[in-house]
Amino acid sequence: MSRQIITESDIEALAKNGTVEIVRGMIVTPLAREHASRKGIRLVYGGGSVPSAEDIPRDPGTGLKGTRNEEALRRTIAETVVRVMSDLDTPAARKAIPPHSALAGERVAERIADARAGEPQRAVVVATGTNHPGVAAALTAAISECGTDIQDISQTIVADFFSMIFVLNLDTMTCGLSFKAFKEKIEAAGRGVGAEVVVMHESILRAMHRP
Amino acid sequence: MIYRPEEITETIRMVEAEHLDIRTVTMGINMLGCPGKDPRTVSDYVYRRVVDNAGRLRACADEVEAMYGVPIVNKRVSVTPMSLMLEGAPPESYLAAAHAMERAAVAIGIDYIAGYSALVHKGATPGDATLMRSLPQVLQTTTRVCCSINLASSRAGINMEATALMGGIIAEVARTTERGAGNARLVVFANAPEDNPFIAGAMHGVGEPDIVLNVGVSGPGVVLAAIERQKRLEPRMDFTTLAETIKRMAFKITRAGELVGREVVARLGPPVKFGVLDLSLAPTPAEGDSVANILEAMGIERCGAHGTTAALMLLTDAVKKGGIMASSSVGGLSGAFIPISEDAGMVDSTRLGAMTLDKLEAMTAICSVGLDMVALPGDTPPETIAAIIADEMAIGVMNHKTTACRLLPVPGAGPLDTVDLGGLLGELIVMDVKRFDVAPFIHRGGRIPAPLTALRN
Repeated sequence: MSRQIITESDIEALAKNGTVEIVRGMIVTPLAREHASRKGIRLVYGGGSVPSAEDIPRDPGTGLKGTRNEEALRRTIAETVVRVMSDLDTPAARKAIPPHSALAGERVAERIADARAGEPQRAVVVATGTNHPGVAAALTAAISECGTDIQDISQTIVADFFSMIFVLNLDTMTCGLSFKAFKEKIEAAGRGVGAEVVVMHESILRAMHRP
Repeated sequence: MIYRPEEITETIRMVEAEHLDIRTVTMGINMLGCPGKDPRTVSDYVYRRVVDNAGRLRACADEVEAMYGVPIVNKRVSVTPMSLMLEGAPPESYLAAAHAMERAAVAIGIDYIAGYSALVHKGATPGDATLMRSLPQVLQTTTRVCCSINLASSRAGINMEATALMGGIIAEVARTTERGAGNARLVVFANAPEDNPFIAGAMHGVGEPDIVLNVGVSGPGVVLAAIERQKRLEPRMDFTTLAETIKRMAFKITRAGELVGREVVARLGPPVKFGVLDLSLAPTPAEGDSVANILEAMGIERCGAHGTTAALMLLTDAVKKGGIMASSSVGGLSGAFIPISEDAGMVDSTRLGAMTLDKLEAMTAICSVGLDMVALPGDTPPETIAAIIADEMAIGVMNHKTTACRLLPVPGAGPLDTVDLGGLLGELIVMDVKRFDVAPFIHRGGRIPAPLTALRN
């Protein structure tokens, strides 16, 4: 894909009704951003807009026509920032709003953190052992007793041996157990039917095997 | 499946069979706010600062350990070098501070607390001198306090007066503590890092925030297993593949370390900040968890044979390259620890005569951290101890790297004797030293000037 560089001089040429639409493939230089902010030109990113926090005091009211209520405007911007930032899978999202920012009052940082904390917590259960009737039933019974939802199962049987992997959603857990207690319960259920069971938190796999 | 079965089984294998662990989470605590210099104020302040800030360290680390299944072997505390906090205080305050550190460590249930330290690379203040002279008594009357002295830096050269003094102090500690074990808690440094999480040389440097948590990641067993696996797939793999194998594994270890460290910080809450990840391969006495065995897996019959230095270069460099890609918070020592005690492979090579003091010294020039836990014959003169330290400092100063010495003259022991210090410290093989006289050199006094490379501006 070819890249288009938007410089300071392009900003004014491209501006329509005080906004410039930035589409995929466009790169806006830092100077151009600064220039736009000085001139009160908003940069709109393909569909959703990400106004910079510095724009707020002199934003000409776009998006909220007819009202000069700064409070309402700030809230709208905060909503947008929370929505956009919580979609980004990056720890930087939490630090997105520095304490001196005009948005700090809207608790944007905390709300992003809350939104991010809403991601499902998952566990991976690996069971291995010699195959006989009732192994899967024992494990899934223990899992369902805790209210955890099975999101994925993979199973292989070679000769008499089986290996089974479950991916579980911990957010649906209703038993109120800590992760440690949950882990012990499932591992004990496995031992009861002669299976070797390991329960892992998904984060460790994500840290080690995903960029 | 969102994860491939191989990824899942690899993770399980690393934790369950190959000793993947987080070697240490060490909380650094600033002590510069001490409101007074009298023993009582000092004692109360040190105790309260440690207990108030690190009181939950163990509990939080245990929670995270249970959650991720990766063991956190050590939970420890380091403090601002005590010489900085105590400058101008009467000698009783120095002992009071050390004893307060000891009591605080007992109160929060940790085995070591570090930072009874002084930085004297260019010269010693009266406070530094008091602290150094108090070391034998401190090491004799405590069991958990770790001490370190920075004797040299690439910018200042080597403080030879302090080096000579430390030679004498190490000899005295050997006489006054049981089997000389007190010296296991005393390290001398060139270019000591301010954010090193590894005891006994840990300290909370002056450029650090108020409270910080540094993480030492390790895992020689995991690296060794990765090399062995790759060897089975490709018996004649070349050095590039070897380096690549180590690098990939280091990446995964570092990622796990950062996850665990940040989670502990999140649970501790403000004002604790995440500091650095120290990528150091640190061995344990467990079977296969040995740095020496990694070098041997590369094709060297015994660690210490010719070729060991080159193998160590490849190893530590690959670990750093993998680690640096995995995290932007790499710091501390980030080298390889090759203590003669905790590493079963190192003990064996020393017993067989493959590893000698000279070879160990050469290895420290490449990338390891120094002469760590080296037992010396009991009759080694203080001047010879100082000279061994001076050699090691010279390597650090000229190469702009950290080097350290933790030397243990063992009373009554001769070359190749086995000494059991018990507990964590394990078994030591006494190394031979040269018997030629170096006293006139050591007692010359003053400072070996900084090398030309110090002038970098």
